[in-house]
Amino acid sequence: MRFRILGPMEIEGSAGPGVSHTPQAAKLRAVLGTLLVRANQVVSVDSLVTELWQDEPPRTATSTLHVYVSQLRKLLDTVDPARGRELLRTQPPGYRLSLAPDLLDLSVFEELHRLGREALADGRYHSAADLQRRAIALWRGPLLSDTPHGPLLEGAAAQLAEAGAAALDQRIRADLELGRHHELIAELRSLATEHPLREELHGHLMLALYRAGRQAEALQSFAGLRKLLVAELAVEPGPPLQRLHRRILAGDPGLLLTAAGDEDLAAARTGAEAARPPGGVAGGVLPPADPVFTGRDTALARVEELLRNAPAGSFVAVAGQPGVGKTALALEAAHRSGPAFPDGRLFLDLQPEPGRPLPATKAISTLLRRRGVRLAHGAGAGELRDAWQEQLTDRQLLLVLDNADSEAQLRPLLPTTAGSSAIVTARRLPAGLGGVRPVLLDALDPEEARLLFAAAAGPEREAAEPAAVRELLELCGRLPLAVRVVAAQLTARPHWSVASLVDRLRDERFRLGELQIGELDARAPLLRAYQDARPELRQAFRLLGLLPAGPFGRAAAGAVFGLSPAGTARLLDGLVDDRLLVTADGAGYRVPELLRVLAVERLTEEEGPQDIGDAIERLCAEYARAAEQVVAVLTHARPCGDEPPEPAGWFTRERDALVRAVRQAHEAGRLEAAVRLVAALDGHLETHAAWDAWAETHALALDAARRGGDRGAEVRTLRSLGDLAWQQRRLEEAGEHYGLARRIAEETGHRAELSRALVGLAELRTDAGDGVAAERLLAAALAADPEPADPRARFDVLRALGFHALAAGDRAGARARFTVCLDLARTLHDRRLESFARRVLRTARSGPGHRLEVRPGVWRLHEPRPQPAPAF
Amino acid sequence: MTIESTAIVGPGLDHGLPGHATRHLIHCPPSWDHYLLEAPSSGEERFLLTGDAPSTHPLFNDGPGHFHDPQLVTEAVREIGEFVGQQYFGVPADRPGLFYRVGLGVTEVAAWRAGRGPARMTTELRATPANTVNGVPRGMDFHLAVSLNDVPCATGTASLVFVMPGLHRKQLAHSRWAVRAAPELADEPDGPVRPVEPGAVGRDAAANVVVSEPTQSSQGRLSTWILLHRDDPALGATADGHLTGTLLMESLRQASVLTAGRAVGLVPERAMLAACEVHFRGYAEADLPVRCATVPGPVGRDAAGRPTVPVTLTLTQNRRTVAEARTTVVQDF
Repeated sequence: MRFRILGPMEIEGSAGPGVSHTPQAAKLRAVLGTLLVRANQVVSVDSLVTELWQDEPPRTATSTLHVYVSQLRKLLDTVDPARGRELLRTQPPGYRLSLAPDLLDLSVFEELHRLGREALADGRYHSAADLQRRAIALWRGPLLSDTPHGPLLEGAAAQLAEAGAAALDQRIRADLELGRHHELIAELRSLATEHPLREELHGHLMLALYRAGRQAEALQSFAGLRKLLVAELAVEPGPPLQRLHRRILAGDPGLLLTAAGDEDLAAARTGAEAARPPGGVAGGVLPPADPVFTGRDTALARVEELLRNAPAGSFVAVAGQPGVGKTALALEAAHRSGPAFPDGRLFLDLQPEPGRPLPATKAISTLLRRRGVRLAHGAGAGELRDAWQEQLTDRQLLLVLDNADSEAQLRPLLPTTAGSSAIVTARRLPAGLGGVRPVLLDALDPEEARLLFAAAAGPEREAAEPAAVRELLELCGRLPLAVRVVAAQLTARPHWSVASLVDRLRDERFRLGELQIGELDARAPLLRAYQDARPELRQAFRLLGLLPAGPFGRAAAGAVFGLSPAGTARLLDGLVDDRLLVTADGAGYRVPELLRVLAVERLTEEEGPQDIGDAIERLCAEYARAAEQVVAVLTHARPCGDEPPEPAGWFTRERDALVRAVRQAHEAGRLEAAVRLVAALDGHLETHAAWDAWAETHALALDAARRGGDRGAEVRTLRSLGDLAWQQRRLEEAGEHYGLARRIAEETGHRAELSRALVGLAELRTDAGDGVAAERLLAAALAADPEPADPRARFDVLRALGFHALAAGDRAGARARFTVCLDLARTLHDRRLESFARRVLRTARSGPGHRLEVRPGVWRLHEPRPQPAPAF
Repeated sequence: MTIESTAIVGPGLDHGLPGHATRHLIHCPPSWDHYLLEAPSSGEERFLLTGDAPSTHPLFNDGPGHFHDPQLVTEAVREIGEFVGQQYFGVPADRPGLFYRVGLGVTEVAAWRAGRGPARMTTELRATPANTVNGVPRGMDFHLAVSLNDVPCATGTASLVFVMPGLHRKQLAHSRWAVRAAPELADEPDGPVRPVEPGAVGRDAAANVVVSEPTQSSQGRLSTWILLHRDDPALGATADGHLTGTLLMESLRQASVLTAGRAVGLVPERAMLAACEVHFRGYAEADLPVRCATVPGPVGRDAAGRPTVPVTLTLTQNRRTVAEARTTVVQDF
């Protein structure tokens, strides 16, 4: 029994290839095709109904589907009377077709393609070419070309078409590595004509022509493609092709190196090779450079320079967070540095399986074998080390040691004599080894990320939705691995728009899960880095998930950790060393975007609500302390020494974090913490007219105050909400808030807040032109907070009384009241109120215009009618 | 930028906009230092202007009432631009602030639809001093972001220049001389001009019509004359004998709507300016006729599929350019 779907559907039964069992009915083929594409997985009834009828299923869709399934079971029984019927099982919420992988051409293709890809990555080019050739041979046409496609099959067809193209691409790469460029030229010309916009095919053709000594034709091929892209899409060829073009123009011998080493390489890789004499030149045993590698010019130049001027015993260590592109950079640098290392370049993955680093002895054995050195079975560690160092002595050899795990693993592998050098990639810098020359990688800058995306997903995607691409790249934290994932997703699903992918990624809860396709998975290396850290660092990392995106200081980190400054510094340093945290410009830190998303996820999964709540409470207390310190510095001119840096910009910088902290405290039921922080923010919100933040924080604080039974906080918050509505000129709403604040303050005896609420109500009456009512309210405000009055509340009453007098033409009365305001502001040591009092005193002397600064920084334009009421 | 080439729309009326309810202008200082010391700012300052959009304004509320008039924004900026310069940037009070460039783009047409009850209009202004000499800016640039009932709906820019009194007087005199210096360039209507029907420019009152019945040339091009209402302080002349900024802006709006209606049939009562960019190049003398030439562009559609017509306008006086503008008229049902 065999099922073939890579082309028209073919079902071969026990009777042999002469008898076809393919269903005649299109709908039946569609059901079977869907189950085959999702073989060994449950396909839901809903998916099948959608596949068959899309958005317009008939009323009897489910029962019709049952009939189809029943017919399929009969068909399978005919195909294989022994066990065919058992293959298709009902399993909620749908059906599952169980097939051994070798019975379905799709499974065979995927396995061959996977093995071929691994062989290519490992430099086994013969195997790679052979495996991919066999994989491609399984294709007889487009997936299920005789079957109507619904959304599921359409998506699968697009994805598999890309996989087929990738198999072809990798077979060509392997053939190129094997020096088969002469044979490839005709095929590549045909493919390039068939797929005129597939840049990688043109790249292969250019390389094949160049290696065949037809440099002019290679350049002509580039010119033809460029002309076409400019005419059709108004874009230039992508960076990889442009780089190849430049290298061909420059006659770069590095492009020929692989071909020169074909024989050795082929022998070395087929396993049938004889031992090469020690000292023989090894071929380019280096995986190909990433075809879409872009940017990183500074880092590359640095690596190349360090390699050029490497003293004996030194090596370059490329470190950075997971997924940042360390391996790609190392390989690119190694390829570029070919001429400097005529004795060869070797690549070794020191951790081929996650969590299982190669022991040093095994690594040396592998390297020696690749150099063609055979040692007697059972050679000891010392013997291996000696043999390896002998290989390096008096030679110019470059090692690329990927995924280094520890200094102990690396030490015996590194060259100790002049001439040879190494590029080591590692998450943690092997700082304990002498001779380390570090190159640290961070996320790409926006332009580099854009170029990488354009190279990987195609320039037309970027050109069609530039704004969505920008957001997409930010959601990926501009991490190269994540950018590659989204590019692959868009390539595999051409019907997806970039905007639709952005929509999927916006929700942090699902983002890491979405950043996965095939073997590309952005989450896995991040999680591995987290799991590799020590337990106390893992907990610290999780708690940093409470902080918002963007830079943060040690104080905020110390608050969520609940540790002293020294303990906090130790943890932060540890996280930086483990590449789970980066230092931001200035003195702060930043959790890279996707790691931050991971921290949020781990926090929810691994921390208890009590610990989370405690951390939030500490964070709120720290923010409240900072807010009060900033006020002390700015308003009272009283620096205390440990206030936040650049206090004038503190609120603007921290606004989102502050709102988020209030939200978190409210959600966690830490009501007092929320109320206290909001109270500390009051003045900042008013001065900056941060209306959205003001409304949200105070709505939460009001709820918290009510739930916590804190009447004082309730009054204060209501009065502040009244001030907000007044500033926004939502006068009705302001009246409601002030009115409620007044009622509660009267009930609870909060004199100062009662006075301020009455002032607010009086100003609303003034606005409405009702001077009599305003005067009555101001008299009540004055009486509400008798001597010794709260100076801030008294300031407000006298301010309002001064303007009332001014409106009535009593400038002397206004001056008297504003003078008291000035005295009160000085008593309060409040420079802001003081400067305001000075300005209004000047206004009282000169007489009001149609613009009046009625509260600090708030001008009332177009005064209403003069009030007939006498001055108070 | 030379003073001679700039100009030339004076500040708004000093008693606030008629029909406007009381509004708040809120200064949000990015740094408190200069604010506390009352020293002039040398960097960007942020302001919010908020309050109900007028509902009884004689000009902006005249018409079928389907939309709030985007000109409210430019009027408001003109009203407070000079004040901001003098109050917060240390510009001497004797230097008038003249707007020479204004641009506004509606980003959400639906938000401009007038509903029942008053609409709260908030304009965020980011003001930056320009061309500062001895600590005193010679000009100001404004970046605007407008929201109506909390829905962001327009963005824009405006630039004004503060002219020293002596220079201002010379400039006025030069302008008067220059516009009459070449009699052979005289340009006036061939005969009496007749205002267009108010409905053709989206107004109801004949007193608010400020463009004449146009003459039409090829490809929808129109030529019309600006009508001065001497008894109306907004649509008349300033004390020093120039057309007011409100009159010039309204004439550009009316000419745009008229052109879009005549050229491609956009319904004036449902038409509004979705964008305008105006560059004032010289004074418009009140005692000489001002011609407005308009050229419609190809009909397009905005993101929501509404028909739009770009219009290029040139105001000239004796063939000397007073203002150039590009507008986009959108029809919204």
